[in-house]
Amino acid sequence: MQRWQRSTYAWIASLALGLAWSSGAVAQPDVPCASLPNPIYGIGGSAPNPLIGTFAAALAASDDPITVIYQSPGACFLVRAVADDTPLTGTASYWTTEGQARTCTLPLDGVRAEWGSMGNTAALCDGFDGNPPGLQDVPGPVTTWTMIVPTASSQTSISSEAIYMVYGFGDESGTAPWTDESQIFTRNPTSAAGLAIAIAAGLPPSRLAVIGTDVMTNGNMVTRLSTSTSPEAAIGFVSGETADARRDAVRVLAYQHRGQSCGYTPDSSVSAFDKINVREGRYWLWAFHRFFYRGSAPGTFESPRVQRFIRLITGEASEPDVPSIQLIADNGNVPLCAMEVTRTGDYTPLVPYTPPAPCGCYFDFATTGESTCATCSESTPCASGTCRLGFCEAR
Amino acid sequence: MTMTSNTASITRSRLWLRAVFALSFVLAACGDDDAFGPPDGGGRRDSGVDSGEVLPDGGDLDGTVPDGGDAGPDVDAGPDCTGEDGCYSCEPTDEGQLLNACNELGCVPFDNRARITRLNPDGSLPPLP
Repeated sequence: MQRWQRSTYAWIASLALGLAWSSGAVAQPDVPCASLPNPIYGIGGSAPNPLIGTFAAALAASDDPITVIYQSPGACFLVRAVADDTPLTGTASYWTTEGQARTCTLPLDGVRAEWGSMGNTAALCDGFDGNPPGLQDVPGPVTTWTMIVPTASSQTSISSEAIYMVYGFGDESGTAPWTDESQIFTRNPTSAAGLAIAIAAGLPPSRLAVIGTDVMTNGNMVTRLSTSTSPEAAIGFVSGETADARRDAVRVLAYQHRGQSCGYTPDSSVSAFDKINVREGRYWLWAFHRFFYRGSAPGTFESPRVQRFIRLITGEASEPDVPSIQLIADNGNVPLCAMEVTRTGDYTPLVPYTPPAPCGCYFDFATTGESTCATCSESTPCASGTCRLGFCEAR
Repeated sequence: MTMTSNTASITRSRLWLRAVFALSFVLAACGDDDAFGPPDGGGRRDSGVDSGEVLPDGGDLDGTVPDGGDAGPDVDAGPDCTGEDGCYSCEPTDEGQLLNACNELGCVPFDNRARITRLNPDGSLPPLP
């Protein structure tokens, strides 16, 4: 075969493979996870995946790269893996410098989980009343949970009590238009989203396995709702990040909690991403993405790489290559420094909060393109307050 | 859609709210927070509103504020903390006050009594089957 023929065939083969690959028709070959630069191995829920991917891409591209490897079988798998000393096996996700998720193969004899993430504390995991020995955790960015309907629905709000009726009684909810169980979509009661909705409604989480259709993932929830043939009757719930990314397909309902006289969406309008009602305490359905790490005591990390990753993703630290607050905002989450309320446990009552180093002005600008705060720099200091991330914050 | 207000019904709802908030506070103090059970379906009344059938733009409506909000569990806050439409107008210090704090953003009420037909006569929610 002539050289030009070989090169032509090779080019055609490459093109075909590339096309097939891009269409998802051919699975990407796995690479050994251990062959990637400076891997850190984690496990947990699927809800934090977008946030983890955002930071994983930035860290992979940083001057001192880390490869974030994550397996997301479910919220409470981390505490079980640590408690039982079960190694991670099979395959896991990692992210390219461009933020594309890829799959790598874990060592045959497994690898020890070094960190993890989920939207709740270990106390909400069946069989645990707290972290197992040697595991610590810290709250990270805030995520919201949202009740959603197809954009073709006319519904705009729901209450805690209505959720109780819809997911507690299905066809017999007596809460029009959500009276057709075939149009009630749900999640596994061990999912972070499922736990949140159950607690908000005052339902035992196990009830979510009784009423409605389990769609398994956030993405499936959007698909099932947006393709419903009975959109007025259709209802479900997803993470706020998921809903924000698919506002073309689903509408977030205003949520009215027990004891609240009006319902609010997380943002100030359907076109906004400011999470103002979350930050100021009018939207109840939120939780921290919690990050877990191995260590003998809080703040003591077994792995310096894990420490660096967790300090960045929680917004406690920032690097030129990994601007944490900006990345958190871009991902649709709220950093703790932009919150004016907090909670001390899983869905415990909201309490006012004053962040020690506030970033609300910057967060407003990052999410809306404007801020009422004065701008500042090294050459133009603030007349009052403290210059943080280019804006004059109150402290 | 525009939310309407009715002074008499709001006054009634405030009294009702205060009673329920006080009851809620007592229950919370008794450590019932973590127990699963029917939420208090009669915990408030969205009197004077139009059952929440409003623009799809949930948060960008007409600048309305909560219709029957109250001081939350802090029932001793006094009338000075009650805003024009019953919202909580002082600096919030607990969840009830935060959730019902006066603000200039739009909200969309869900009228439990009008929308949930299976409420018990006293407005509470039925137990699960």
